Amino acid sequence: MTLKIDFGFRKQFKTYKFSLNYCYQCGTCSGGCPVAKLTNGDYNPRKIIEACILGLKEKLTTLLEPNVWQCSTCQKCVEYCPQGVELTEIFDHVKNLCVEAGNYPQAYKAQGEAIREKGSAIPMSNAIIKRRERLGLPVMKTASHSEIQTLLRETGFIKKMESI
Amino acid sequence: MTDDVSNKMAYSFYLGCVIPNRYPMVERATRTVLDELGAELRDMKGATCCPAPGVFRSFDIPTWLVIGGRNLTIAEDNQADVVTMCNGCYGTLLEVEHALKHEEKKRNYVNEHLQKVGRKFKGSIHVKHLAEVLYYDIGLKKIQDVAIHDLGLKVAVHYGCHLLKPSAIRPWDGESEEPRFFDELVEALGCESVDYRDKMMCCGAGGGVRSAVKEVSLDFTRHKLEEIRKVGADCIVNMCPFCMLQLDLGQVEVNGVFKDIIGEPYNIPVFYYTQLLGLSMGLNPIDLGLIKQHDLKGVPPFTSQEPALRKIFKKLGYNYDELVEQAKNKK
Repeated sequence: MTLKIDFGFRKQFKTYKFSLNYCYQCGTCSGGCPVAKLTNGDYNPRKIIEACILGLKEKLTTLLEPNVWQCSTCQKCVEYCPQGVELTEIFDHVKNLCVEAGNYPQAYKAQGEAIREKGSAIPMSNAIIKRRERLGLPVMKTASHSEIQTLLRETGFIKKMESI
Repeated sequence: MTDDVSNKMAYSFYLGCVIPNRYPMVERATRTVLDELGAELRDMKGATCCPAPGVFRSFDIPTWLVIGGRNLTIAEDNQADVVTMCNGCYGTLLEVEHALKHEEKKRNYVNEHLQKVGRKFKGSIHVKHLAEVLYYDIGLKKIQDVAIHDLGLKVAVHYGCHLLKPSAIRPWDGESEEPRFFDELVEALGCESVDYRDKMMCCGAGGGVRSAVKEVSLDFTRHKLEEIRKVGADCIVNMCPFCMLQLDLGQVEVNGVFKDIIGEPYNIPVFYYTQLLGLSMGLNPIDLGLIKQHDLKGVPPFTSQEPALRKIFKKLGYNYDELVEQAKNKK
């Protein structure tokens, strides 16, 4: 397979987190990564960083090799990295681009929509409402709908959600 | 950073999504305990999801900053630092706070947006995790003093990730590999904090992996549960509702998905720290939300806390079955 280098993509990453430039591919991140351990190296944070440095957009956001959605954001790699590379934040940026490419876990969209509609990621059930009442806890109020809508529209979030 | 907050023991109480909507009993226990300890909790009117550092940040980082910044302005209106019971909310809110205080470009971007709804982040408050409030603000010494009953349990402490990392902007002196503060808080209750392999490992829920790749996520949990079972812990204690959901509901799921390789199903009770602290302080188990309501279906805990509770109650002189009856009549 030919690997296509996307120079814009590469530049975007290096500007987004300059620390990416400091990576010398020692693999400490992968050595400490619990997901790498549990997936027998199928998930490999070093390879994601490598692909970012090289500008391999397609590999990262379309082919999902490795699949960045497996990152549990435990930040172990960030702690261990001898070069201070901000891996988790770089991965979040990769995820943002995966979303733009329409490549994201389906369950995520429902959560994004729940926040858009109710301000909360988790819907309330009747049993929980009753349990709260019996516990003498205050009634949960949802945030101002118009305020949240305004912010989400202005940041382009709603448009992004509708386009994917 | 708390200089302009006059009352140091008042906090903006940030609930997040998982506790109020899944574990209200934890909210009950925390409110009761903090009230008893003299901390004033100011509700955050109109607060939204933090938003989640896994799912929401993955969608769009700039929006994550704006919505997180909006939540912080509510705490500024309250003139009180934030206290959160959730590692995920802590991760988001603290990291947003840090970005807005130290990166002018991001602060300007966020405030340009917040202006449209009449808000502005001024930088007058600081975000704290409940563990930090208990350990530093209230103080370990005070916790040791008020925890009058020894609970006598063997406890597997689960710290979770975002409570500790990235350590550069956490209050634990840069320690993320062998922290002791949570163990000390547990020992204050007359419990033994048992060591177990991969104690500092992620619960498996973080980063949205629970939604994205369920089997990998549950494999984490299976691994942790196995190590915890090996050392014979009576229960798991944690201070994050998302870890709690993963270790509690996830335990039921692990028992299904991995039934062929785990041998006996796991049955390890999971507690939030303030639930046990409240018991040790002599507070009523019903007021701490510890008695399960059997007529309400689908309400956690999913893994029964009963074995550990019976052990504690025996020591404290409560009758478990009588409390269940009392709780029924309290409807």
